[in-house]
Amino acid sequence: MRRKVMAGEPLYPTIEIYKEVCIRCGACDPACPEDVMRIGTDGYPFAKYAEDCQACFLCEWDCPVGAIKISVHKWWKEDESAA
Amino acid sequence: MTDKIIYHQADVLVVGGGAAGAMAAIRAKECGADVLLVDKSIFGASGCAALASGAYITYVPGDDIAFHLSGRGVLVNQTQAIKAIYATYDVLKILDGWGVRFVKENGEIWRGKGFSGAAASGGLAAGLIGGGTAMMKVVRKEALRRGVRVLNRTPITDLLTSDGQLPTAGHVIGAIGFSGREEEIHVCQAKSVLMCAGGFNFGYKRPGQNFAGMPLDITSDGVAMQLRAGAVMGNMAVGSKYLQSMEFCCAPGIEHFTTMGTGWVNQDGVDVMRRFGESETEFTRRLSLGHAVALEMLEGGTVFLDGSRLTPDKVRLLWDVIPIIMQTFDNAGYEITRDRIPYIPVNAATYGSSHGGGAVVNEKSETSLPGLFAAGASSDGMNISPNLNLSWCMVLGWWAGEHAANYAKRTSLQDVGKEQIAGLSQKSIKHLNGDGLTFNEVHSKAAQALIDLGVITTDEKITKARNVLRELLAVYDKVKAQDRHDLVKVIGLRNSLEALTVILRYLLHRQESRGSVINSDHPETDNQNWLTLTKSNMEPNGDLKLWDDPIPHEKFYLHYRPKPGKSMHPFFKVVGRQVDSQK
Repeated sequence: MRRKVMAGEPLYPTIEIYKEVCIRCGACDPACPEDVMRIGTDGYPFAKYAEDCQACFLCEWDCPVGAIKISVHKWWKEDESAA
Repeated sequence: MTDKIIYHQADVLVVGGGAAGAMAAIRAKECGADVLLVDKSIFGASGCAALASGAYITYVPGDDIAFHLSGRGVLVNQTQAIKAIYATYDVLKILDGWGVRFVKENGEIWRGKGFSGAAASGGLAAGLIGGGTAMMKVVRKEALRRGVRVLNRTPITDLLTSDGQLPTAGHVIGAIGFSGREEEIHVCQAKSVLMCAGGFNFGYKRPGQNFAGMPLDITSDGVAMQLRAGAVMGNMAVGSKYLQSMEFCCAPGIEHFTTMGTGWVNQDGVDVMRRFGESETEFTRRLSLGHAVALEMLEGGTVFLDGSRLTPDKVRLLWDVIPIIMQTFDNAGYEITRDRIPYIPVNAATYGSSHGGGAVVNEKSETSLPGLFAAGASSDGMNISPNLNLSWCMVLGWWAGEHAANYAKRTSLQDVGKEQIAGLSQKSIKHLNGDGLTFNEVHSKAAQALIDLGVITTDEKITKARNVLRELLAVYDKVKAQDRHDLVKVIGLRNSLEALTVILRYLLHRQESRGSVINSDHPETDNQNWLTLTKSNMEPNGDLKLWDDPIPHEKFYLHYRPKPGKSMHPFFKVVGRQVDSQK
């Protein structure tokens, strides 16, 4: 097995909200234990405190139409020299 | 200061809406009390419970009860633990009746053989389909259906007392908090207050880790509030070890499922459990796993989850019971049966997490302060386990709900003094004004102190970390919150610092290594001098008084009996006395 080494800076999870799918029901705000989401004046949610997201997926799962996608990222890479 | 003061009245005030709080609220309501549940986050989504792996450690009739107490080295109240073990099955049946979905086989509750429990155990775990997330949705619905009133996004900051003092010589008459969203102070008067605000998890990035865990939740608010009020605290230094993936924060818990076919290997593919004995490779205890991983890292290695032996059936089962973890793996591009996934150990207390200590409660869930009850990880859990898992928190909550409701029938509401309200609300809200330190500045220094402390401690390291934390507490008043969301974090940080300072005090006091606590200055588990429960309370002058209540040897009559005298802690048996390489 190749060794894994750190690559780059740690990343926060990304929170994608698809406005074209969102039905503005507001379910994602009370789904978040870390208080990340807010509903904007246009009725669409936005990740106001994205830095506190822990990628628990609760907002993604509570969205009735699949308008939210949480992504985590690997930040290790294979160390070719150790192969 | 324009915050509006809103008053609430209830027979029973439940602080916290996790597993313990939810069950307590339902039980108190069933016992005829008017119940208000206040949650810092969102009832049903907050705390450990909603992110818990679906391992509901439980007794089932026919089990050998001694097996459930087969933990090694940890000191528990066996009489109380046996009651709790039986009660896990009663609560399971209640949950099943409500429609909580358990994994079943031919209509019977299925349990994973050899799930390595966080309890004193050995436990065997039933599988919750959809994990704690799905379970808490059902429990929340049951609470609301029964008429439990709920106040969300409202962190409770302090207990209200009959003499207006913290610590108090009187009794508890309610609690005060603020809204995390609106310009509001919430004053909750109650005949009894039931603290279920969870344990201590200092959310920060461990070395090599990508995410910090839970910056808002699980900041030991309940522990710190009770500490400030002068309640007798106990067992603050104990806890379990668990593992977290390096690259992302997902709820711990996959280590419960080790014996389903997941293993733990180092970078050379060698099983890391082997050094801790063949029995540990067959039946991996969570505690031993933590030791093994710590040892591997001490030697410069990396530990990986190896799922190559998982059958497709087992993979499907894992998707059912630990969906957060499985989705995280999948999302990051890992295929669990193909790729090895790097993990780090998270050590109780010394590495920023403790769910075993808290306010000492008697068999009636009463703390030392009249009117104050506690359950779950804010309590010492009646000393039934060094680390309170999901099912034990639910049992403790269920019991406490009944006791708090009965107490409320015998007492009446008391007026809260205006001075008390003004003083305590100001203490929180003042962080919104002026200039000063940021949350991140203080938080990162505390995190660094924990990183320096490491998994394997020495007295010097503990003292150093404690000094850093005390310095941070001394400048804490200067921390400035950017907005109310930030204020919630700032208040949680204070509670974390206060709890951690006490935890480290306990670690210094108990001059031994036991369970998850490994101190190379004291490598032995010492049943000659430390067959005791350490307790403390805050004196009126703010000093912490510590003492030890002995546990007579006769108290241990089932399966595990501490050997008389001193014996080398299992970790040091393997690693040897000197751990000089960990500087």
